Amino acid sequence: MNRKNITNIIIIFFIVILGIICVKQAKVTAKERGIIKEENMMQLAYEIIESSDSNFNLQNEINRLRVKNDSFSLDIKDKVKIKDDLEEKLQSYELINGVEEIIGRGVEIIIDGDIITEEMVDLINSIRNTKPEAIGINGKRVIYRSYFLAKDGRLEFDNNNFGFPFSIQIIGDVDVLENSLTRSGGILDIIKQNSFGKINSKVEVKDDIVLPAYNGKISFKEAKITN
Amino acid sequence: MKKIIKSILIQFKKINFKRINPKDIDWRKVNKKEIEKRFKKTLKSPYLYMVLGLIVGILFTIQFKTEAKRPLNPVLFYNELIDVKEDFFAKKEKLSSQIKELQEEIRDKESALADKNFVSKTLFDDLNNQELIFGSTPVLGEGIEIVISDGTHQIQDEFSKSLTHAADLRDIVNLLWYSGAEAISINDERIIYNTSIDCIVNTIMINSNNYVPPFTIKAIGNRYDLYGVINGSGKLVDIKKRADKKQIEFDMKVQENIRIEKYFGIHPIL
Repeated sequence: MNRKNITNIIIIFFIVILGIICVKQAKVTAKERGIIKEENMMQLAYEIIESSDSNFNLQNEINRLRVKNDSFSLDIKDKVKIKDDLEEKLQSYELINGVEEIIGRGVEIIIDGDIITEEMVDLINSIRNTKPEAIGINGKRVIYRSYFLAKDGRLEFDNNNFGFPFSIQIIGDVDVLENSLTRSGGILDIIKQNSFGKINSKVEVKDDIVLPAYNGKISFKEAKITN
Repeated sequence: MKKIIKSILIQFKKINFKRINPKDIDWRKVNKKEIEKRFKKTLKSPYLYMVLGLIVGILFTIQFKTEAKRPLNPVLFYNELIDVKEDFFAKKEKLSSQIKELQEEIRDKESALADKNFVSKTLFDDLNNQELIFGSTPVLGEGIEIVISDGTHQIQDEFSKSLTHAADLRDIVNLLWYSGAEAISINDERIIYNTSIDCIVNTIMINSNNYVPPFTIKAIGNRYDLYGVINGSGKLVDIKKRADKKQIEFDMKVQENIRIEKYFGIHPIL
């Protein structure tokens, strides 16, 4: 092999390496650009975490329902147990639907300031996000169809009308409630910031919150049960 | 080191950087041997290898830098994450369907027990009423249907106004309760006592399920009351203003018969 051939081989070798590197680099860059352009990374992460939690809860629910479903074959022989189970179920419904008095540990929020309707809706939404057992405002029960209307320095909710300040009682997981409500950037902080410090709030843990049954009538004039 | 740099600079000075005009070349004088000679000379030139080495070095550095970023950057795992997400979603649908079947089965068994007079009719009626309040049963009745979605007309610096926000849905739901709605659902997700409507990046989460526009809000109640309040002036001002500018789509229809599905999520009681 003469010197000329050796030189040619060296050149070809360099060109091949250059070509491989260039193509690989171009591919990686294009792939990254495409992904970053979609701006989906954060959403993807959230969705996966959310789906994972949700699937875990759904699996637990299935296990619970299977136990319940299997117990029917045993229950059928025990009329007393059937009656007790159904009464217990009815009582649970009445508690969460707000038609029975409920007592429990929770937190109380004092809201002092001229809150607007949208802020009140957002606040109740944030409280519901913690999955509480019951919510009350100035000792009046909030139910699934409660509405909120803040106007002229007063809060109207269902058949009730209050001036400011007012208190919100929540029965539920105290740690979750307190942390979510008092954390920086949380709903109460946002309301305070948006009002330039005019709406102040105080969160207190309470051991025995008593919320009476809903004081209105939950009627269904139009909605009918269907299959 | 100084010597090396000095020698390189001297070599550079020797190079004639003057641009050669092809017209100035006498092509008759340029023969094959001459070209080969020049080519060989170029190949022997250390500058050629210096430049080639520099290019390869830079490319290697870029390449290794890119590789090094990979473990820290989730970009590499993007496709794998997409697969994971799809698996989770498929599993979620399967689990939800199983829950639905089990709930139906349990309800049927309970109804069968009622027929056998094991339990008083009053107890079952009370239970049915509480299930209706909770949202455990599908309901049918007159009402209104609202469709809200992102708009196509985007105004510069007002991009967020052309999106449907969780806050919009919350305001509509609050106003529907105010106008006397008895049952509400958003994209067939029943609103129950602890339903929260939250923004999760660019989806909206209702009862632990994520939704994207368009959002169909169904409400059962006196259709004229519902329509009158929602349509009334001074109500949902921001939404209507954005809809007028075509920043969002907002459509409302009165319906004689609306079916609202029951709550299919994790049941706190059953």
